[in-house]
Amino acid sequence: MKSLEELKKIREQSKRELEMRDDESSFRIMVGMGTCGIASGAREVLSALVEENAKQNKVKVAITQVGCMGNCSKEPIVVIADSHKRTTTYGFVKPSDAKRIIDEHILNGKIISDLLLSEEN
Amino acid sequence: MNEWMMILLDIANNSLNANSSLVKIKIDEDCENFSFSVIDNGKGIKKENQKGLFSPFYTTRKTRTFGFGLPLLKEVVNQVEGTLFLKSEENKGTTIKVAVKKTHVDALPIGNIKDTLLTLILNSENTDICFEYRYRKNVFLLDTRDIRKALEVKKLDEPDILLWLKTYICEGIKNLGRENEIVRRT
Repeated sequence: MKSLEELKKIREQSKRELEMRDDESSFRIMVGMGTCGIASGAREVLSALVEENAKQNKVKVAITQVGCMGNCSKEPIVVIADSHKRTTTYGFVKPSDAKRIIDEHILNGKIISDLLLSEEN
Repeated sequence: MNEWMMILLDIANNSLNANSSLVKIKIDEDCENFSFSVIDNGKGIKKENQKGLFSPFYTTRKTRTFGFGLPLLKEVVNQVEGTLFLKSEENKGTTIKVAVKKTHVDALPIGNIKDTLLTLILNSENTDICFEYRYRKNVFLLDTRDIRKALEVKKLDEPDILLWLKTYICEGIKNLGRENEIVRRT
């Protein structure tokens, strides 16, 4: 059974690893969590992104939620913003896409064309 | 919304967005009954706005022109002949309680508790969440105040913390023993 003591140890270890990470490139992943997003399965997408992100420790990624972004018919929606203020919007995202988002977009800078809704600089 | 946990998440997100410092979520479940309550200490709903709460399209938010959450909740509760209680006082907070029969022929499934709780915690930067889930005689508790105190942190959005939380919640829900339940609807 998980305990707070175990969490403290994990925290101490990851703090040391964090110091070695490249903090110049960082990303923010925003998952739409309005009523439309929730109804379309955004929770599971968020959970999968959290899990996939925890497996990598090369790039700083903040995963957050936002309200309805207006594209209700294309939910679940995931918006990725990088440190150069470029934003990429993906739609109809499934939990199984989380690995591709982290591996291809975040770690390798490749846009996932079959999920892409829009890009902005 | 086709499960209770989606509805609970929608309500609890409202509490988080109402500048609450603490949101208490309590779920009670046994063979036949399911109930939940969401109690916050946020800004509450003004008296003059309370009349339109359950009207479709009504909203006081500036970011959108319609609101469906509460009207849909009322509709769903009515369909399964359950009870819905809402009380709100400006600057004191809001309480919502729902009680339904799991055996009703139109009953919604409970849904994904684990990801609902994780989503709430990730959205709770300035708010503490006190979560209690009672299934028959077993109980699962999670209080973000304990976690923040233990780690001496304010934000719980670091990957390692979230992964620990996800596993902790999974194990806690599993230990309630509700997975083997069979519900007979009438």
